[in-house]
Amino acid sequence: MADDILLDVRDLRVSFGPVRAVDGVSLAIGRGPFGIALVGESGSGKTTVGRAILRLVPASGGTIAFDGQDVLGLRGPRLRAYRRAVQIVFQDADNSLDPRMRIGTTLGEVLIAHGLAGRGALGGRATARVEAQVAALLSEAALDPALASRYPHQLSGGQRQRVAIARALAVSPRLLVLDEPTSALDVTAQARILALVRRLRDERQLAYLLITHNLAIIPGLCEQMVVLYLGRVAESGPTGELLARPAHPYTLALRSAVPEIDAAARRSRIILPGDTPQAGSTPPGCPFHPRCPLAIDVCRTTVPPLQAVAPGRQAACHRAGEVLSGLRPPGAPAQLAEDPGRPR
Amino acid sequence: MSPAKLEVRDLRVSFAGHPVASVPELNVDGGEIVGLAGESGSGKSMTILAVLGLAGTAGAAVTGSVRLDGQELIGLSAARLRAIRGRRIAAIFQSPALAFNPVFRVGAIVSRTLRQHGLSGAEATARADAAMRSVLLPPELLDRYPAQLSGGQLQRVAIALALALRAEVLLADEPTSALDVTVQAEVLELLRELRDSRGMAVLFVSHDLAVIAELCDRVAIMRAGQVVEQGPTGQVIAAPRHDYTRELLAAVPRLGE
Amino acid sequence: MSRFGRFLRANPLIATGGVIALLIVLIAVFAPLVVPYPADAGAATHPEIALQAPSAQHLFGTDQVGRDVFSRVLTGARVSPVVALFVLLISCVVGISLGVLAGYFGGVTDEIIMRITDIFLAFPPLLLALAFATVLPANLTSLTIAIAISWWPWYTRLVRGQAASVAGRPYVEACRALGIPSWRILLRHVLPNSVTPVIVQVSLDVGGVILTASALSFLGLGAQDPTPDWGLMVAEGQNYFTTQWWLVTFPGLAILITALAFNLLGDGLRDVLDPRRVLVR
Repeated sequence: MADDILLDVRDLRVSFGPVRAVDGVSLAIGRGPFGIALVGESGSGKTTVGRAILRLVPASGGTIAFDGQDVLGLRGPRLRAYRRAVQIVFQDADNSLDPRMRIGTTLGEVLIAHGLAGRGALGGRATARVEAQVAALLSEAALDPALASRYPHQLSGGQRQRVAIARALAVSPRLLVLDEPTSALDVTAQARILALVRRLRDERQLAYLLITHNLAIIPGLCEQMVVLYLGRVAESGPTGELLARPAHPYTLALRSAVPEIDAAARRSRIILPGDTPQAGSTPPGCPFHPRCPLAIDVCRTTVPPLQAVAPGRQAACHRAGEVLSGLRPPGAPAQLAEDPGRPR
Repeated sequence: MSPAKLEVRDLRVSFAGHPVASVPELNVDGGEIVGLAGESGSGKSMTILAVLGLAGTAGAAVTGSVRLDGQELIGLSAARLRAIRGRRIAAIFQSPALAFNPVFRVGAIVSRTLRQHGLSGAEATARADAAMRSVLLPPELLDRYPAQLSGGQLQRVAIALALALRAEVLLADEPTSALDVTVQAEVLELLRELRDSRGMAVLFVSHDLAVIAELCDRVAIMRAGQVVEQGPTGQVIAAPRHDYTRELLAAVPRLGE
Repeated sequence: MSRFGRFLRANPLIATGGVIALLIVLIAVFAPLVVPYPADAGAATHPEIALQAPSAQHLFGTDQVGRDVFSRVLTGARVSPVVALFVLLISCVVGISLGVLAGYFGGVTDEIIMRITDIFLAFPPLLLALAFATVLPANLTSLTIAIAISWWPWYTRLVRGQAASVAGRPYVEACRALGIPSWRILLRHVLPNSVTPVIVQVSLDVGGVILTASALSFLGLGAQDPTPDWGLMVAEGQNYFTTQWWLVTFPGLAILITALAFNLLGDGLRDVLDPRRVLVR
């Protein structure tokens, strides 16, 4: 079993000063082809988990192991080697490319910096090699190789995001972290990116961690799913099962909140009172209890542990078993919300 | 047949001779939500600005007709437009934080706007409080600064302001795109209530077809400045007539089992 | 029309500034060959024709020792602007390097560099330049060094803020995630994106440096008479201002026009260097 795991995150904690953005998150990413989704809204810590995996923010606790090797203690050449194996595509495609550099130069830079353009990176022959590789990367990302001479602002949002993906692929990573890859894009561009990820998964035997708040893009891309709330895992398990039979009230609410085009697929809304809390404003007991429509007394005092609720499935809820068996919140009209704003 | 609350005819918006939005016909009646769907660059936001009479400030030229209860708005003097804007036609935008000046308390902005439209201080406070309750926010939040409120809360305050002004028409330009999905559900529910219990006419702009499908009674699909298809939402989605509509619908990821 | 011609038409700021700047450079280069009284720019004096108003023989009149002001002003183009050039060059090199390092690395590096910068900034620039100029022999080289010492901290401060902002941008973070070494990130990403405010500031500073140089020259710490330094000429002509206005006006105008030209050039350059500039068809 352990051989199948490419990236093993255990009890990860990341704090920014007093704020605990990630408070004990564990997840396992299998070897490619494999897709796992990390789902949550603002304040859930999902982006921070992605950044911690890439060693862009320091972890304050827990372990991350890649192929059995510790990741958090890596330095120098070992760290650079790790950065060839694990890559990230950021949410903000508009700003993840240097606006003053042509696309070809941006991609070429990665190749040269990692010595992937062959020996002797000076002179005409080397330039031609780099250009050829850049063209190959652009084609793989379904882009016209002629775009290499353009600047980022001359491309559409969808094209920029594909360049970002091409750049991440330049180092031939084994694991790709996709941080909200489509939230800034139009729906047609989004569809193209998702199709691209699917294709890359097959062609490159890629493993990826898809960080998103949009549940609708997960089926078809990720076989496993982890739902985060306020820096903790609410529940995790196989995507199909988790969405069909949630074991956590937050997953229920999240799923019911996703707007559906097909009238037949629409579920009755569970409206959660208040707003998504800011990271660091964790209440006592279960982090979700202030907004939970199924909260009972124990929820206010005791933090529910993450426990198995079914084979391959875990949930952190005192009533997980009941939710799994079909317990649903009553269709109560929303009441005057508790005052959940940010204190100054 | 009585004229619709808001009637748009042959509206054309252009920048330096280049057309950016062209809407031949669009009606929004009280008690209905009409959606304007499209991707970026489709001209939907420019349409909203043109209806509000703000397109000129952005440097655009506007021709055509926009009637509110039969009264023509295009070409009205700035003073008369100002009286109508806010008071009878309210608008909420994608980034609520931009609508509130960060150095003022939210309540100060709300009451100033109300007083600007003729209410006395006491009336303004009373209406503001009542409106906040309607959007399920405690009136005390009015004492906060915008930075102390979340995106969802600010958006609801913006809606409360529209309510307090007793606006008859609400123009919403991507009001939930920047919000978390659970918060979005709340705001959409609120808009439905406004339609049902207050009889507001709502024009809802979004790039999210699923949201439009759930919320809007009728929809107009825009692409590159043109309206390619429009009609009752259920019909457009079940039986799209234009290729672009089909393309859009095919691209929407679906969650349903 | 050639591409260059079209470019100038579309950018009137650069065109005007550039043309004037070019003119100044030409004057500086060819002055000794072109001016009517080249000796007057040197040690020659003609007390018998002192303080004459502008006329056909002396376009800008003569100064208090009879030298042709026109010749001196034109030859002065070899003095003040050149001092300004070197001052700004040194300040840029030192200031930008330190600013980029401080802004990108932050932490201790930032603290050390900025505290040193703050120490220099604590002194009024003129006073600081004065202090250094006093201990150095009184000539143009010392003047240049003295002013440069007091000038570089402003650029460090300017660049450091910009560099810190760039360092936090997604594309820089992406580079780090991609394993690109720091020196490369600094050179190819942070530096080019941090330099724009400096360009504008430099153009504004041309006038400032010339004035500072003139103040120091007036105090006898920089250019010495008979060097036709514009600032020095203004300073020396102050006493005659109300009656023999030409002693001050013409060198003053030279300073003004030079400063203006580089100002316009800088403004235009900043616009051009932004690759996002919308091209007007």
